[in-house]
Amino acid sequence: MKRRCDVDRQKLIKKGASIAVACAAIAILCSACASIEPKPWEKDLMARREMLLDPYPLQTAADDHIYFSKEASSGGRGFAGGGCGCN
Amino acid sequence: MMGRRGQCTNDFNGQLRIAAKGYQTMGLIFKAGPILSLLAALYAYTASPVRADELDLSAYKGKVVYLDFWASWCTPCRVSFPWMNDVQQTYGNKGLVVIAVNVDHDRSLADEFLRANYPQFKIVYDPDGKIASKYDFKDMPTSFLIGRDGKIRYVHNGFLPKQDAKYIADINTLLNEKAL
Amino acid sequence: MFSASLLAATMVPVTNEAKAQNNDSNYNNDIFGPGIAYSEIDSALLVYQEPGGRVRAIEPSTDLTAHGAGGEELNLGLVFDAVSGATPNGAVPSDKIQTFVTPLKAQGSTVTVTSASGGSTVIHLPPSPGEVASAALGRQYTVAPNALPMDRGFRDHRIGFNLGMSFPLGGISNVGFGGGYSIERDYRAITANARIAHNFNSDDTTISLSLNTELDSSFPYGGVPTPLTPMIPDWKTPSSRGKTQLGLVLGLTEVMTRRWLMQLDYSLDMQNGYQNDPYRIISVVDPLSGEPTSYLYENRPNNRQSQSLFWDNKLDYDPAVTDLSLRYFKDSWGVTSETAELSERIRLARWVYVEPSARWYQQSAANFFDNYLVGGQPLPAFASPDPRLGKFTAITYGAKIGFNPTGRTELYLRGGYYQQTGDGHPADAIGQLKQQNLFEGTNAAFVFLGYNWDFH
Repeated sequence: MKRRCDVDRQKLIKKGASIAVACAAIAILCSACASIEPKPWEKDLMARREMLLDPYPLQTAADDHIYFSKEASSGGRGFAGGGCGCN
Repeated sequence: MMGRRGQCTNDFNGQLRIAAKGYQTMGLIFKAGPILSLLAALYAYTASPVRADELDLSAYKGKVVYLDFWASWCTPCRVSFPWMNDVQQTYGNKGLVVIAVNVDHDRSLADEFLRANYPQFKIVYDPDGKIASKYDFKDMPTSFLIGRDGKIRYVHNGFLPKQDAKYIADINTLLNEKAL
Repeated sequence: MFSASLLAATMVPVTNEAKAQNNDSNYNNDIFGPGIAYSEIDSALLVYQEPGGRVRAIEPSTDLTAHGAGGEELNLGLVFDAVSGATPNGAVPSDKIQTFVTPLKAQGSTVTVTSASGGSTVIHLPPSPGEVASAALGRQYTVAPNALPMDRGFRDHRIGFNLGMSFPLGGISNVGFGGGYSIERDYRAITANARIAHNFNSDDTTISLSLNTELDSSFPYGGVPTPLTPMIPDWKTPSSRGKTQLGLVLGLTEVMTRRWLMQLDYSLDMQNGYQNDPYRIISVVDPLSGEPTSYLYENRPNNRQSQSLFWDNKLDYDPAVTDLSLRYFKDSWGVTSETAELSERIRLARWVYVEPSARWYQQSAANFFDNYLVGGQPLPAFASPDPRLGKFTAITYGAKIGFNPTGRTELYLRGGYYQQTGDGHPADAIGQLKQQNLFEGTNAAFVFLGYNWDFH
């Protein structure tokens, strides 16, 4: 029969451990991302038109229209980001 | 926590110690992450031979240096080049030297840009970004205004024609300082 | 900073000619972007055709954008749609001739029905109580045995425009808002959106949020039918019904490496109001023979909530740029879908590229989807035979070629083939329906021609 304080202590340890794991994952991801993300002078490829998120908006709109008329799902795409980051 | 008669008491201090240990561990992990990646980066850097692609500004001590980092793919640079030409022409005899460091990976793209933009100032090529890394800036283009004492005094992030007056004011401030 | 020698310093010769040209140098360049004020005209034409005389659509569109030097943008878009051809009316095929009636375009109109509209005849409906002669006209058409019942008299035009603007505001990288309006003979949509985005990490990370809303009105020919009541050509009330939509998209864009751009978006969408297809009917069949005994107008729930997760990756490894995206969608109607799309843009020379692409899509049926209803059983609250809500898999094969002789202009041509496959022979088919193909989805071919032009 576990005493309530023992159960409490186990819960606290479990909670602390899960928070530690989450922070570790975020820290490793953030530092990993930061170490491989390009510096501002390394954004040459991102400046090209073909590396924009949506370089041909009319083509995307036409595709969306076709799929919207034939399928139950629609949308999902975002709009901002990428590019050379100039200025 | 066990009390004297085998009863549980709410040992606040004990629980606090456990929590503190937990936070300490998290802190260590949090610090370890960036340290580990720094170690990895250092390893990568030292594993390959160091190249001597460095910018020596000692020749320009006593002059005001406008050090601009540009690339063929950086569209604001198309507007900054004519402006830098004007500035070099106007303030050159007062001791201003414009040096433009190119960070293109592909030299032919940089040359194409130069053919269209007729720079009247020094061009330095930094294809591996070694000079750029030393100055470590946050925007493209970025200009560093270096005073007659050889120290970086102003940093211009991006090139905004609206801020032309501020750029000129900064240049004049440094030009008006007496050489050491 | 003070060690080795100066690297490859070059001094470019100074000439007066060069100085004179400098004033125009920012106009000599072929590629526009941040910090440069310029305008763009994009125009395109879509031609879409389903086989067997089914839907054909011709859709020209154009987009005008003015870019300010400080990152401001003003955009006007126009689209025109001409759609015609046969479309399934929702009834299942039968081994006997079937006859359907539908109201004519407008109350009191006189219509010449030519043979091109596929064998439908104008009928006069009996006058309603108190009327001497009926003003109601209906259109009656027959469908051959064992053929998929289709309404061939379908023809519509749509025009839509949208206006938007975006700009940096204070410390925020980008805020924008816009609105749109679209109208066709029996449907109208008014849209509005607002969005905000911010860049971090030297512009390597972008977080964005957009809110969008839409107000739709459906005013079908002959009025809005009462759901799950028998098909009649007579005028119905009300004459229109509407629906509202509210949605948000939360986005994270990350420049992962110099060559790899990633985007992750979460969307939430809520729709309330009339979402039926007012022309679609569902067959009620005899429980033994499977012969249709009557046709009822379909019904869908008034509320629909959906969520989706979209993940897109673009990788640049000269001469190819790869785009791989995945989307997962789930809604409160019981539809779940998965989409995977891959395209490979290959630069053949500086001024020409080809881009093959493929898309795989799979969806489950809505929980009120039914090919038909069985007579004698209690009517469900909701039922729809619309193949858009059924279970199917679809594959699109695409190929595109583009020409950009200068950085200012591009011409491209894209062709695609869309193929839907679904179960046309469910195990629980009754009677004569066992011999029929119950899958109403289709294939389609499309061609898309586009032209972009950047200028000052």
